[in-house]
Amino acid sequence: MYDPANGIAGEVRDVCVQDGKIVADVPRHARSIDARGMVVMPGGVDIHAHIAGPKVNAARKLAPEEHRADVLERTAIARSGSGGTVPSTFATGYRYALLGYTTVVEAATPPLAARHTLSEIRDTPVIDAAFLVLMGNNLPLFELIRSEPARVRDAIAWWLQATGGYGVKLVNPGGVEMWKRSNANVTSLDDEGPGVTPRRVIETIATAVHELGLPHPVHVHCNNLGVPGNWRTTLDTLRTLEGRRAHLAHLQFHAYGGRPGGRPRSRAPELAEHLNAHPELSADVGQVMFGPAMTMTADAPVSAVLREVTHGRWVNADTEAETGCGIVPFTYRERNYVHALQWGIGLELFLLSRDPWRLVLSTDHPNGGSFLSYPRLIRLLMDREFRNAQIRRVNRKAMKRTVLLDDLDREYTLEEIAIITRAGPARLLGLRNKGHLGVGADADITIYDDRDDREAMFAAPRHVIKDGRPVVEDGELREAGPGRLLRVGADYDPSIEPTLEKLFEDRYSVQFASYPVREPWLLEPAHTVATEPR
Amino acid sequence: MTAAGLIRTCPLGDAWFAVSTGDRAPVATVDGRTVSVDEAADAAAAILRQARAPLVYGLGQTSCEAQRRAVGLGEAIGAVVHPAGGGAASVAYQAIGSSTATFGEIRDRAELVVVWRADPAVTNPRLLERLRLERATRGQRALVVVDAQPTATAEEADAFVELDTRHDVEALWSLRALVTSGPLDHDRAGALPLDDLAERLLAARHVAVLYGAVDEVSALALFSLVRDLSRDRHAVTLGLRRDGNARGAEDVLAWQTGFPAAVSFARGYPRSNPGELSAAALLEHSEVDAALVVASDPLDHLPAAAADRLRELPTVVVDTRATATSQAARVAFATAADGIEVPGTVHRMDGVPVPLRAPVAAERPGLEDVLTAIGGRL
Repeated sequence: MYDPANGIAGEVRDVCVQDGKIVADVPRHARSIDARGMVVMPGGVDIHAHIAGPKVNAARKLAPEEHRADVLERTAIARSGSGGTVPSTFATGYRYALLGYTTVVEAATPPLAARHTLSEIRDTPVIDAAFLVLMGNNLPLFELIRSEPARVRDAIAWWLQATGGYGVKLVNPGGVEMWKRSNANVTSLDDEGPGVTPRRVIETIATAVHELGLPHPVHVHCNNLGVPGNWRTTLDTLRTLEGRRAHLAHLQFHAYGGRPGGRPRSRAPELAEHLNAHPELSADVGQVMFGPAMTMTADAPVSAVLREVTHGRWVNADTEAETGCGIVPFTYRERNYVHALQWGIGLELFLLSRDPWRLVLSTDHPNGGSFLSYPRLIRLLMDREFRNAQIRRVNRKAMKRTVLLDDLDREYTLEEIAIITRAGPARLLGLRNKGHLGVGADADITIYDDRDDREAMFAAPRHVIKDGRPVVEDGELREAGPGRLLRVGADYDPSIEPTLEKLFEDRYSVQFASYPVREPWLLEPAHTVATEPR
Repeated sequence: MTAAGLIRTCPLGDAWFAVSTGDRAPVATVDGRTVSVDEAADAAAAILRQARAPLVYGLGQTSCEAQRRAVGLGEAIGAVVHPAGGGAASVAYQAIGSSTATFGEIRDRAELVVVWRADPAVTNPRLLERLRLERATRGQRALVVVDAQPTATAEEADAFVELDTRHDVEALWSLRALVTSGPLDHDRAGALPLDDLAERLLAARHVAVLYGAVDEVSALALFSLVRDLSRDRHAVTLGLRRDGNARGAEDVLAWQTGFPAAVSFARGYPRSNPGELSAAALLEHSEVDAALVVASDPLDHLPAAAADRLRELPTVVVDTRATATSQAARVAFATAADGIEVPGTVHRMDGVPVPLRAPVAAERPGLEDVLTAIGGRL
C-alpha cells in the first residue's frame, strides 16, 4: 500500500471500506479482494485537464477523423462513444476510471458557460469532477479592481456560487481581452493596455482568493505562454504572488529562455529552484508527449500564433466580458527542436523538483497529450534506462539545451508517483477526502499489478474502487454510475449583487437574474467543500 | 400567464406561449385515438423495438435535457439521430475551423456586420435589437446585407449587395482575393458588385459575418474569408439557426458521441457521415423503417419525396405543438411546454447556455418525461 498522506510507503496492510468511506474495520463476512503482490494506491486525482465545456466540445466537433478511428461500443453497462485526444463525455469518464483516476479538475470554464460545463459533467460518468472559473479577463471584475478592490473578494465568492465552480483560474490576465479588442496581447505584467495591468489583476485576485480561504489557491496560467524568454514573466509572476499561496498551471510552457522570435532555451532549472525555495507555491508540469494533441486554451492569442505554425484548422471563440478561446490540433514530433525541447523541459522540471507534493503530474490534457499518455510519462520518470533510450531518439540539439544528457540518475519511486498523481494534487486542491486511504477518506482506491514495465502497470489497473463500489475489476469496466460535482461553498456579502448587476448591464447579453445556475439537476449530486476565511 | 401579460416577447415567443393557452391536443394518441400516456408509451416502444432501421429526427425545439434523452434513446435502439437543419457549416468547420463570438462581443465590438443570406428581421425578430444593429442604435457601426433580393433586414442596412445564390462561392473567393491582395480574375470579379463591401471589410478593425442558409462549399468559402480577415483585424462569424435550440442539439450530440451532425448508432457505436446519413437521403432511399420525431415538423420542411416516405412509416412524434407530422403519426404525444411549464437549458445560436424557467405548473408530462417513459420500455 502506498498512502503517502498517511506516511505509508509499500507496507502490507488491509484497507477497509464501508458505505463509500475508508473505515477502521469491517465485519468478517465483508467481501474481500486479495491484493497480495499488488500495489494499492488512492484513486488518481488530475489537477489540470480539459474534459468538459464549450471549449472542449468545440474541439470534439473539430476532430471527426479521430473519433472515427477510436470508437467505444455500447455495452450492458456503458454508453457508446468515441475517443481520440478529445473523447466524448462517456468515454472520458470510462477511460479515466480504467486508468485508475477517480477525480478530475476541468481547468478552464467561462463562468457564462457554466451550465454547459455542468451538463457535460453530468454526462461524464464514474469520476468526481470540479471546474475552475476563468476570471483573468473579466471586465466587471477589472472595473471592480480599479474602483473597489476590497470588494473583489465578494465578487469572486458570488461568481463561484453562481456557477458551481471550485476555484479561480487566471489565463493570460489582460492579454485575452486585448486579443478580443484588437488582435493584440500583453507582453509584461505592467502592460497598461487592458486598463488594469496584469500585475494588478494577479495581485488583487490572488489576495481575494487567499482571504476567502478557498480550498485551492489561485490557479495561474501566466502571460506569454510559449514565448521564448517567458521564464522572466513567470518569475515576475511568482514574485508578484509572493506571500500568498498560488498554483501555476503547466509550468513547462512557461519555462523558456531565449528571445521572443528566436529559438527557445530551457530555463527549467531556474524555475525548479525558485519553486523548491518557496513552499507556498505549487505547479503542475504540463508535460508534452510525442504524438497527437489538441491545443485548447482560453489564451486565444496563443492559438492565433499556433495557427501560423500549423496552417491547419483553427478555432477562435470570444466570450463576452469574460474570456476567449482558441483551438489548434497539434502533433509533437521527436525530431522537431522546439517539441523535443518542450518534452525535455517537462522532464527536467520533474527530475529537478525536490518536493513532489508541490510539482505534480499533468499533460495539460489534451494540450501536451492525452491523459492516456500518463502511464508512459510515469515510466519516463521511474525508469532511467527507458528514459535515456528515449532521450537518444529525440532532437539532439534540443537535448543539449537541457540537463537531460547528464544522465540524471533520479528515478521516481512508487511513493513519489503516488504523490504526484493523487496525494499531491488532492492536497493542493484542498480535497481532504481524496488522495489518501486514511479512515474517513472517500473509498476511491486503485489496485495495480506490480509489473516491471511501469507503463503497462499504470495503463491497466486491475481493480478500481469508487466510493466503495468496484467500477473496474480484472481490468474491465463493471459499473459506470454517475460521479459527483465537487464545488466550493463560499460566503459573500449580498450587497455585492446590486453592484455586480450594474456592472453586468452594459457588458453581457444575458440578464443578471438568468446568470446564476440554480437548476438542481445540473448541480447535484455534489460535494461542497467549505472555505476557511482568513 | 398570457402573451399579453409579458413584456419583450416577439412573434415567435407569442406563438410559443399560445401553445400552452389555447386548445391543446390530447396528451397522447395512438392512430388518432386519445389514450393514456402509458398506453401510448407502450405503443411507441413497440414500434421502436421492432424497427430495424429507426430514425430519430428533429430535436431543435426542445431543451438540452430532452435532447440528451433523445440521443440516449437513439443509441439504445440503434437509430440514426439527425438534428434538423445544420450540418452544412459543420463540414466547413471540420475542414478549417472558424472564428466566432457571443452576442455581447458582436454588439460591443463589431464595427461592420455583414449579414450573408439571412433575414434575421423576419426569422429572429429580436436579434438586430440585441446586437444593437437597428438604425437608431448602431451609431457609427455599419450593417451590410448580401442576398438574392432585398429583404426586411436589408431595409435596416447601410448597404445591400444583390447576389444570386449561384455566385456565393465565386463572390466569397473574390472577396478573399480582394482583402488579401491575392491573385484575382478582375474580369470575372468585376462582374460581381463587391468593391464597396471589400473596402468596408478592409477598413473595419472588427468584423462580424452572420450567415443563414449556406451550403457546404459556401460555408467553407465564408469561413476562409473570415480567417483571412482575422489576420489584420478581429473577425468572427455566427450562423443563424431556424430552430430555437438547434445549437443545443448539435452540442449535445457532439458531447455524447464526438460528432455534431447526423450520427448512426446502427453498429452499436456512433458513426458519422453527414451526406450519407441525412434524414432526407435515408428516407428517399427507403433506408428507414420507423421514425421518432422530437420537437420538429419534418412533413413541413423535408423534401417532398422524403416527406412522402415518412408519411408511410410507423412514426412516433413527441412535440409540444400539434403539427402536420404529429397529426399523421401513429403515436403522438402533446407535451408540456419548455420554458412555460418545464424548466431546462437551451444553447443560443452563439453557444451561450441560458435557462428556461417554468412559471406555470405542468399538467402533462414534458418531452424529457415522455422520452424517458419510452426509453424505460425498450
